[in-house]
Amino acid sequence: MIGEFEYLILSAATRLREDAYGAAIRQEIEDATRHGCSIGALYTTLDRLEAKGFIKTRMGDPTAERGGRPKRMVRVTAMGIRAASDFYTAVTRASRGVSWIRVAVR
Amino acid sequence: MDPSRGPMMTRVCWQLVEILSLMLHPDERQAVRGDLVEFGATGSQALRDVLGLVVRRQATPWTHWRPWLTLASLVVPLGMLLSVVSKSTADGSAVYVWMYANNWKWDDLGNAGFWYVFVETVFLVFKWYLALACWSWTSGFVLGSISPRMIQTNGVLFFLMLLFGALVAAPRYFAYVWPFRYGAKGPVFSLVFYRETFPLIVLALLVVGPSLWVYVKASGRKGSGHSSARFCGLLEWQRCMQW
Repeated sequence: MIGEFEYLILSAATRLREDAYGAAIRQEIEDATRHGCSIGALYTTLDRLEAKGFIKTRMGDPTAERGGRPKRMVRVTAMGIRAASDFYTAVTRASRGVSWIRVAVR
Repeated sequence: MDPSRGPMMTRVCWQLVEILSLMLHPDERQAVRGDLVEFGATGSQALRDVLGLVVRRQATPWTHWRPWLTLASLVVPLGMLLSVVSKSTADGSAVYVWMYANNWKWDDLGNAGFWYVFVETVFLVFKWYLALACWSWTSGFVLGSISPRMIQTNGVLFFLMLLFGALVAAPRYFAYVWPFRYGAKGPVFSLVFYRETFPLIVLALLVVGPSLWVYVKASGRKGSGHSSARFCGLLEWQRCMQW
């Protein structure tokens, strides 16, 4: 089972498709969670996901807007999609019958 | 964003980012710097981000047993032994250096006996220095070849260990096992230079120099020669045991 941060990265990278790379994934995660996402956490988790075979990364071409530096492009593998799907199913199943609004009010 | 422009603090932060990011893999360094530029990070944000990444990168291997084994079996013993042997060599040779440097008489040059003793002394001291330099070279090679992921950390720890050994451990060790070693050599070691500075010069030239040089060379090699590193490691241990 993957962790929640790994799930956030897999979701962001899947949503971004061909445009999935470090800065874009970071932006997606910050928009979704409304919390800061450190580059350290992002890059070490990308390495972990790659080691598990959930993503593949490659260096893209340098672009002018990045000061002539390349992007680390990310592609989610079939195994990654399955892992993210399993996580989502588990969270959905675990949340069945629970209303957080009602619990918070009580 | 051009990091070289802007307020002084921002420039300092970006320069620190530049230095810190040297500890990252070249591909990752480029990607991270690009991400920071694209994200419009300020100098302090960039510094925090890169520092966080470098710390994580250096800390990750320590969750496994191998770095601890390397630390306990190579980095600490070699660092301590080299600093102790270096101190011993420096003190041994300091007497001869003092004898010639502080008591030089030009008239002695015409004396055949002077030349006989002088050549013998130079040969003896050279042999000690060569042995110390070779041992340091081998230690640097072993440490530089052993773990590509731990190159920077092992290097820093090894040189910190040498420094600690030279400044703290070696003097205390000799004071404990050989308390009166300076007794007969009082005139030499009453001079601060021979007691404090000379051992540090020997350490810098014959230990730090050779080991750092080969450490950088060995760590830069692709697929560093593990078999030769193991062989050198065994030699190291044999020497440690003999010492």
